[in-house]
Amino acid sequence: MASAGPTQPPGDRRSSSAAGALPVTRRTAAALFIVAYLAANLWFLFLHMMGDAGWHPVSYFFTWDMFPGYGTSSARRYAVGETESGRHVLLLPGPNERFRWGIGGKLPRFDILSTVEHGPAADWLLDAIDADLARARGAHADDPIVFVDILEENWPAHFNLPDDLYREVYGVDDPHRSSWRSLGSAHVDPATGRLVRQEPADESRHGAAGSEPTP
Amino acid sequence: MMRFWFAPESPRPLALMRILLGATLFVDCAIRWPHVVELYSTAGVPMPLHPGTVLHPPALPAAESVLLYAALLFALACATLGWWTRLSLIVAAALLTWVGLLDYAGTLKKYTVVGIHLLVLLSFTRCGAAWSLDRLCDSLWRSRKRRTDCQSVRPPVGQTSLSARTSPAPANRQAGKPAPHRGTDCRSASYPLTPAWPRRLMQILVCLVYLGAAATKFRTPDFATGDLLFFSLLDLRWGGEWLGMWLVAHPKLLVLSSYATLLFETAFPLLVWVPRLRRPMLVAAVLFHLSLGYIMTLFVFTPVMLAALCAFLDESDFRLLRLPAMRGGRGWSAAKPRTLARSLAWHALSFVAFLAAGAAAVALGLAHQRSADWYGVFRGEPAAALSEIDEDRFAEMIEGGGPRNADYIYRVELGERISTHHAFGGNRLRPGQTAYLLVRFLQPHPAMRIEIEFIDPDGDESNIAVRLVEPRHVFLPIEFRMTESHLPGTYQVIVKANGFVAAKKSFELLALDE
Repeated sequence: MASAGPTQPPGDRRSSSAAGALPVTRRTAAALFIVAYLAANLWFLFLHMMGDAGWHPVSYFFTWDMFPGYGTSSARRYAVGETESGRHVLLLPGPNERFRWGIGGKLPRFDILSTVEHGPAADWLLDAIDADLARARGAHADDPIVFVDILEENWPAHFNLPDDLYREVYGVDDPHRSSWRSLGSAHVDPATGRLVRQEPADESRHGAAGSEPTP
Repeated sequence: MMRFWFAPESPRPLALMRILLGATLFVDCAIRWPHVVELYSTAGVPMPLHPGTVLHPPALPAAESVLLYAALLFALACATLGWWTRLSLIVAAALLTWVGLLDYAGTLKKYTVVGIHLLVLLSFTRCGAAWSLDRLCDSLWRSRKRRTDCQSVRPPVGQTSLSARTSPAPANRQAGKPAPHRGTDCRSASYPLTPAWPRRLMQILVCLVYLGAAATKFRTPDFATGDLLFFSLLDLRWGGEWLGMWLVAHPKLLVLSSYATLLFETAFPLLVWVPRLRRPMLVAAVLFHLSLGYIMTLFVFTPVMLAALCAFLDESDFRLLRLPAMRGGRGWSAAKPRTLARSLAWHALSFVAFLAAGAAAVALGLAHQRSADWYGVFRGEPAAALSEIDEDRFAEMIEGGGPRNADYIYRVELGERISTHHAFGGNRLRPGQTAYLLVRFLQPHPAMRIEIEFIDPDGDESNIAVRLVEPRHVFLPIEFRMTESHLPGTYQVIVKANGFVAAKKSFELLALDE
């Protein structure tokens, strides 16, 4: 590592005896920081190269794993509330999910996540639905929401090609079809206006995903 | 080694980085300003990176979150402008980490992390000593003294101001002779020097980013086949705009792009340290990031990395751009103000102004959020009624069914030669040649019945192949030999899965004498 861009000004007399210009204490502190910083970076690079980059929360800040994987499908998540009178309203994405991301700024946060079925993401989804229920309570006081279905729409990623390119690649029109599956459903507690979380997912209420139809 | 890490050097490359990075992160954060309540406050739904660990900062109520976020925007603006630069950089790094850790879905990306690294490392430098409000204030403070210096030390007769801006003659440098007297041109810039080690760490950081990204790709076999890029470009989060989608339609170019990416990411960390290759590698890096930014939807990743690449610039690069050269600056040991008492008063005044501006910015931010109240948390106004879903639409959502088998077919290629991932050669065949059809399947997929139909130039259909594909199969090769008995003309090949058409391909069979 000879020099990737020495930037001392030309003719600067200090530059030749530069090392001595920094006070010893500051130089020592800087050296310690350098060693620690390099050690952390190199350690996490080594772990990443070995395929073990997730052993500590701080590893995210030192692991450069751009494009570690890919999904072959795209998905959108919805929560649909059923009111006492049997009407259906879109709870999520709702007025509390204003943030958008992705190409063209179309994706709410729950569509950015790769999955919402397990772990903390599942709790966040239920929290978000609770917040949407709370905010919608006033507007739906006459016909309260009593039941919530959580649904996922997904489709193969190659359907995201623009129509002209899809026809060029596959020789047929993009079918733009998607499939749906239930991620769960729950009753709304009339007293609190929140989801009854203890209830297990009731996928049988509306039937599961259909089987392959015939053309 | 001591010189490598601790040589004093010009702050201007770092000042350029500070401006680029600060402005980029400011724009990135300003975009989220209307969503502070949703993303970071207890009134919304924070999505912490590591819930329940030491890296899970507490989410605050809406008003407090807005205040802190406004402080973040103010700190980023000040870091860009170079006003109380070091303090602004530290505050910006701390608050950006805080919001990032609270929302990994929409805020904390790898470019955010690179930005945080750079903000922290910049705070150890004197990047505020050039092209900054700090510099302007310092100049005002020193202007009287400088005028006195100019009057007392005049350039030698015949020396122009331009000569004072140039390097010592190469012959002198080679001979190890001291630089000639360069005169004292008060129009040329004079900056306090900054220690090299933070910039060296930034350089190493950039190299490690490329090495880490390359390691990821080495470990992903699908990268070399172009599949990783194929699906990444189709991803609605990071995927391609028009050019990216066009690349998807040309799979061979995807393979070439994948190799070019790997080549760059491994070559840059090695070659940028060779002095003669530094500029070519920097140009390659800039082109790499610009093309990446144009092909994919990477948001501020490109400008963040362009800012990071400033760590590899030096004063000679600024001379190329015809920017005034900097004079030998004051080292850190000589940077003490001339009149301590007056300097302290000046700095105290500047600091009070900084705090007052910060308080005003934060108060204005809160007032703006209160008046807009996008989430109804400040005025408590109820939301409008939720949008209704008609019964047909709801029935489709509930009983829409699973994916068709044809949807699992993502690549169909036709050619004269075949590998496990691609078919090669043109679509003009001669009698006696064999046409190859390659069908690839998404994983996992169910067992499927694949039918290949053939339509000859007369429009006659024939079913040439039926295959039962097991879930473990990732591709299906089909070959059909074109003999002299086949009619010359255009043939269509139709690929069906359980009766649904997945793709149609065509090729031309030439006549025997063509």
